[in-house]
Amino acid sequence: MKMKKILIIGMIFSLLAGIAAAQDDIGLEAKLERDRVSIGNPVYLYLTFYGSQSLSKPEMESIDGLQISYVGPSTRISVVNGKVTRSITHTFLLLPLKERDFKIGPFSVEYKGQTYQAGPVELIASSVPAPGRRSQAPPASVPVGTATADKKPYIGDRLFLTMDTTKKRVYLNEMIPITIKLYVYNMSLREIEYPVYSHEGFSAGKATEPTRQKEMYAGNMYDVLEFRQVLYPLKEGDYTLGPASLSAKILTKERTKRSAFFDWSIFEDDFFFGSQTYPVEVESKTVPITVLPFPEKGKPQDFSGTVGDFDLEVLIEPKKVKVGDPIVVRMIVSGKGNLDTVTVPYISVPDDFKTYEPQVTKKEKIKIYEKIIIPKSENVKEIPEVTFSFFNPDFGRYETIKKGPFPVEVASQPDQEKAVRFVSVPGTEQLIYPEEKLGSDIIHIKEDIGKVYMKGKRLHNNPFFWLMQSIPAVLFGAFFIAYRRKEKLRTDKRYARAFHAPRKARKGIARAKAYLDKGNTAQFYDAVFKVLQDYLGDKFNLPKGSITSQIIENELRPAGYDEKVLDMLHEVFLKCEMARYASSVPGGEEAAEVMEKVKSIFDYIERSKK
Amino acid sequence: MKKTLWILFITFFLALGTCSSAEGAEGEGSVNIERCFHLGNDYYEKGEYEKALSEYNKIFQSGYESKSLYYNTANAYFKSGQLGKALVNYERAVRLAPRDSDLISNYKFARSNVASMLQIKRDIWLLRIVKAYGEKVTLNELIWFSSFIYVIIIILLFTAVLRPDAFRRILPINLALLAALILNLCVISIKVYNTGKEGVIITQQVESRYGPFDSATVFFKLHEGMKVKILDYKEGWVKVKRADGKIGWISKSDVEVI
Repeated sequence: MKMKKILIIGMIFSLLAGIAAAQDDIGLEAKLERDRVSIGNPVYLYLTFYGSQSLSKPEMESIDGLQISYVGPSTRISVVNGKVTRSITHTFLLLPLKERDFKIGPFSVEYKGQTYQAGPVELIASSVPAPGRRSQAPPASVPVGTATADKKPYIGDRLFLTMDTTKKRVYLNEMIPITIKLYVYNMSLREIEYPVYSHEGFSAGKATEPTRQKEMYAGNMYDVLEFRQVLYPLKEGDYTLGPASLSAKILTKERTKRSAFFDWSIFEDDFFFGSQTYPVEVESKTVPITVLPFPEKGKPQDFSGTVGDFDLEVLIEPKKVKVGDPIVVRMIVSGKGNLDTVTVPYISVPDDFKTYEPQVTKKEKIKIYEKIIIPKSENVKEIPEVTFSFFNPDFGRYETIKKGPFPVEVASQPDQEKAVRFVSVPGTEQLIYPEEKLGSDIIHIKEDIGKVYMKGKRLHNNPFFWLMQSIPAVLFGAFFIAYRRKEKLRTDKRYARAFHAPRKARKGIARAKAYLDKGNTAQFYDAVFKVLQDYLGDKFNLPKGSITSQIIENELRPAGYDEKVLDMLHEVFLKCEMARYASSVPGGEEAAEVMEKVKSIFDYIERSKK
Repeated sequence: MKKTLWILFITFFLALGTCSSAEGAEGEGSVNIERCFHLGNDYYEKGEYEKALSEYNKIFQSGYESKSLYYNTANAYFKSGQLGKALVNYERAVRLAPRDSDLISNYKFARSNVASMLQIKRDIWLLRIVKAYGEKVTLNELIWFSSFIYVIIIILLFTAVLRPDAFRRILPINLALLAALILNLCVISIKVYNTGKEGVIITQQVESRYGPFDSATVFFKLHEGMKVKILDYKEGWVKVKRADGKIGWISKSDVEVI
């Protein structure tokens, strides 16, 4: 136990002593990954400061022909033979773009008021590959920025672009296959874009999907991405295609090194694999092209600029027709060359045919023309010869294909035939042909003028007609409402009583008024009381005999009727009872006032709709 | 009740008949109309088509029209070599008498002389049926027929109120009538909507442009007698739609509204 304690104390002492010693080992070191590289190949520069891990990135001066980019810092604590060393390494990536010797540095940093210096370092960049490169494992270094390369001057480069064509002297409209290849050696590329290049004076065909292959070049096996496109010259003369340029991103995978025991780097930023992308743009050389005009010698009359090597097939459908029936002349042009320059084959149609403009269908390597011709008479025996001329650039001469003539049988047309024809051509939309002629002339005029109308006067803009149209609907609506009411009166007793109450009240009031006019006050009050009983009984569906002034409290006040009206009603009830049971009967003006009040009460209840 | 309904039904159609007779009235100028018409026919038979047209046009100018008048006018235009104007008048006549065999024959014959062919898509079968139906009947016939169906439906509704059990038994008939009424109303709407919105090219060849001005690029060509839809007007220009759907501007003088 004692021994253990002594050991631990000893170790702590040694460590502290080591740290104290480390205080003295402060310094800056500049180191290149290697000092000789070929142009376009990157190399790392490590600037390591010993004694601290908090030193910021030192400034780097720009150097002509050398592209410098900062990769990042990494820190380290190493214990070797009991000696602890702290350090920070700032890594830079250098990409030589010119063939020359570069002197990089000296470098200086400030730490705690003192200046520490290192370097300079020398980097030799040449067009010759660095010795031993091919045997090396794929380096972790990556190019940054622009790498201008082509096959010849940059033999051995890891990334370059070429542009080429099999034809440097072409004719107008001739197809020029362009091949652009991206050569990649020991690199991972991402986000590769389609190459772009100037092609003024040429029309461009659709670019094909790039293909990937392996290709041995200068003793190295390259990954090659091949882009193909076809160009068509539009004007004669000397032209320059390109240069083609292509953008991509280089992917690097970095891994920390493990060397000697205790020289581990657990504090480094990227302990495991880390990846990073760097944009890069490569450019090819230009390609000169000479565009020749068409030779005048032997140029056919029907030649219209078609260039290539084509074949012509002509199909006639149907071969037996009647006068006025359409015949479809299907002309199929196939082969290699510029299909856009292919025009309709020539057919000299005589006057005894009616013709229409051909319909064109273009497929990948085929162009189909469908021409409708209609024989006007049964004397037609054949469809004339079809010719198609083009210039064949492979042989440098004009060629003419002739097909036909094509025999057809044309019969006379019966009179009673359906005029409208729908002819379905496979692969195209439905064609509607104009109606055939039904006879050789129009039918004679009419002798009778028939029914004469005022111009523009039609049924649909006659308001009286539309007014009449509304009558049945209105009648039905009225009938329906009346029928529903009648049914309700028949089946709903409460509704029927309430419905009839005002009419009965009006009659009762008239009767009371008659008594009043006669001066028969007692009977007047009897009549008024009865009217009130009848009306209120019907309105509230109550037995008539039970209607007294009590109805105000039981029915009317809870229903929310106006207090003034209720008071008025109460007053009328009191006066009626007084007249019926007391000896003195209020007459004259007082009775007339009661009369008016009763009318007001009924009027109010009818209007209130409660 | 039944008796009342029948009386209402008959009264209603008698009242409607007054609309029809009002629209067909020949008016004070009927003698002149007849005279001009027969004079025009005489000129036509002598081969003096311009004079015949002059007589027929007098009737149009007095505000009257008839299917025979349009038919004879179209014939005179056709004979005088004005295919476009002939087709305009045949179209107008067809609207008044779509089942007149002489008229249809001449109309198709004239159309077969139009120097054009267009690729157009065929309509779906339902639309083709509706269109074929619409082409066989006049607008007035459609309106009368719709009115008749409408009154029958109203009568059936009376039955529904008075005799609900009987109505339930004839419900399918009522639904069929309702469908027929809807179809008729659709066709009527299309016909009324198209009134004044269709035209015929009356010059031999017309260049339709992208815009309503002379320097606009030519988009497509139209030939005499081609029927177009009229979409818009602008300062002496008409925006037209060809049967294949292409739209362009032509001069107002190149097209005559049907």
